[in-house]
Amino acid sequence: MLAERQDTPDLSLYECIDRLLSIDFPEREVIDIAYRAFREYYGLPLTYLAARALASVERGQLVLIATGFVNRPKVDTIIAESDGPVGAAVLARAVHVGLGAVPVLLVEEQIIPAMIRILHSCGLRVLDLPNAKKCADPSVTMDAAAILASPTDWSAAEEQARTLLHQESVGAFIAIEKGASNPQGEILFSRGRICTPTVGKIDPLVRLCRERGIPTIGIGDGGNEMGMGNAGGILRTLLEYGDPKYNGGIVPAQETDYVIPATVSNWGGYGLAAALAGLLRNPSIMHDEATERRMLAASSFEGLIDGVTGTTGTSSDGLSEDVHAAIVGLLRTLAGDGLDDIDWPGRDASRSGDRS
Amino acid sequence: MPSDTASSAVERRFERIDRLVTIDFPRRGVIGLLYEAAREELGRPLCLHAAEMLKNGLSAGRVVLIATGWLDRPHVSLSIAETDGPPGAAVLARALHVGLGAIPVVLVEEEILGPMTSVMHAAGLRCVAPDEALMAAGGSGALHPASVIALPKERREAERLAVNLLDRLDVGAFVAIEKGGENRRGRIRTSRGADTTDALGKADAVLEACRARGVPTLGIGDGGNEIGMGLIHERLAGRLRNSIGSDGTSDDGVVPVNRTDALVAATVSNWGAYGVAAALAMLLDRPGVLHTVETERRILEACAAAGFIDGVTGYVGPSADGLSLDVHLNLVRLLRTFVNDGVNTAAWRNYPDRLEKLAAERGKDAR
Repeated sequence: MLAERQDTPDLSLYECIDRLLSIDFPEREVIDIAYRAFREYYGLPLTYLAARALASVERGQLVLIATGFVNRPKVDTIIAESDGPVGAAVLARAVHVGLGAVPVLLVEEQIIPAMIRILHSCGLRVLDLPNAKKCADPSVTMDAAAILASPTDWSAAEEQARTLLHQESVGAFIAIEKGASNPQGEILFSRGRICTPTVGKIDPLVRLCRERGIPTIGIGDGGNEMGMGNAGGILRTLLEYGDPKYNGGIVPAQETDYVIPATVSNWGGYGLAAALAGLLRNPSIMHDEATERRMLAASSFEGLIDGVTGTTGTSSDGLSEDVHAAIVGLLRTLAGDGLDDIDWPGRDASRSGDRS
Repeated sequence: MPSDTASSAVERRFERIDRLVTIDFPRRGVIGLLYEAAREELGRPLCLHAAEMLKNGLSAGRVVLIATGWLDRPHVSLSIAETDGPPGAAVLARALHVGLGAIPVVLVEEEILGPMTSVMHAAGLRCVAPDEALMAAGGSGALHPASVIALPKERREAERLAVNLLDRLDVGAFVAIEKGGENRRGRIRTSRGADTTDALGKADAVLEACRARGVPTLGIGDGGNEIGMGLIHERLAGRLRNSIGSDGTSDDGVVPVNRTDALVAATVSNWGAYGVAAALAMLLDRPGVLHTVETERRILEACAAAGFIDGVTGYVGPSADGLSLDVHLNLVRLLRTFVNDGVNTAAWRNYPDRLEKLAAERGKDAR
């Protein structure tokens, strides 16, 4: 058994990360089903697989990160939620700090001001794409990201995707809490209501990335987000609202290469950052609790709402700010921060003592 | 709804506690084995099983005996003990008092009576003699009493104490937290296999006496060598490091032999106790039964002030098992979501049909 371990990498870190992300604190009763299904299909910790794909990105390459959910369209299409943009900012920071990549956020036009403020809160200056690309050079000493408006029109989205992939060197694509089209061409909320017109369309971009062998990752928590259609759309039969009788079902038709289902989509982003920190042995890739609180405050200031409660406070997905900070703190611990001189038998057999 | 579906829905809620307190943050590599073995043995979530047992055994005025304490640098001094155990004992004592009105009597080695008392005070319970605690529980002025008494290292003396306690007090449950258990040869071993029998109070004597009288028993541990692990002795033999002794059998290995009625295996023993407190709070639907983040901080700082050491790092400080204060605070913060502190579960049940429902209700009111 020990000999086997030397041949295969120790994945216990990623098991721990996966576990922390997938405890159903809000009792939404989706994550247990989604995690088990995808884990069985992929066979290895899901944050490990996604981080491994991300680690292949080269310095200076773009990492495209799509997020944003306009989720009270009947009231006003300016209303969007804080779950998604915060996780996207964390991933932008992680790929810049860890890989020297150029993070490019794709959000609906009206969410850009909020996205800017959240990125600034996590340490990245938002610049135009040509200037953001200059910051991949470490001697510039500048943490930056770019933002592009994500068209809600299908053909404009297709055009943008083609242009981006033609003109730029794209290393990876990530969607986090991003609605995607079901087999009937509709994008749905997690309980089956249609929201197609208000969502920035990223399905063409995912399709084109996959055609070119650019790794694609989907992160979600409800079953209706890009990535949740993976494993041949297995969630269609497992989730209540996956049933086609709900406007075609919430599960997307387009698949991504990797998927991270999480209790809260933001946490999926944090978990991927923590896994990348573990893989590259650099804890600073993972953001800290102070940054988390700053980003949630920025979301609130910019009018992003808690998608569950409908308030513009610092809560997200019905969970208070403290809960998110605790998740971040524990992920940092897993990423290697705050573990004092761990000395358990089996970790370092050369030391001994009368410990319990 | 069929009853088995209903019970599995309940178990899923409690399962979340087990999942949280068994994440291997220190990457010790042991908890997976211990938890799976215990789960197979008991067939249901461990913290739920333990909390239900305590709830059935205890009621207002009844006594819970809680053994803890690990003197883990005996080659230096018997007054040195570790921070894993005492906080769990204090938190569970508090939970059983707040939730069930039980009177906690904590058993530790005489060298750490003072430090343990400080930790109990940090948890909000005033320590007095057992007889005084009984009187306080029945008196008029508000006082939340507990008692900390010496657990003898000499086996016979411990047996006499056990009989005396069980004769004198109305004992409703026994709990051991991070407490070394005797193997078939009567030896208590560290998780590395070292013989530490002489340094430790003999909690097995109390456990045996409780079992003989039908008092329900619970063991909480994180390494496989603590009281409670006897329940999975056979399942661990040959699979856990140092479970096989020099004679080639598990008789003199690290895994204890005495069985308990319930067992909680957690990444850190303290967390196992916190998990049981969380489960009890859920069962009683009383969030106050689980301690808060502020109390957790006070307890760990009291440990440091009283001279307890982190058993892994060897430093005096508000850490435990090599995990810094923040890790324990974050863990407690997440446990508190299970008692609906910081989580809006009601919103999920309605979301996103909430607007329509609210509109419908408003329409009703208007009529």
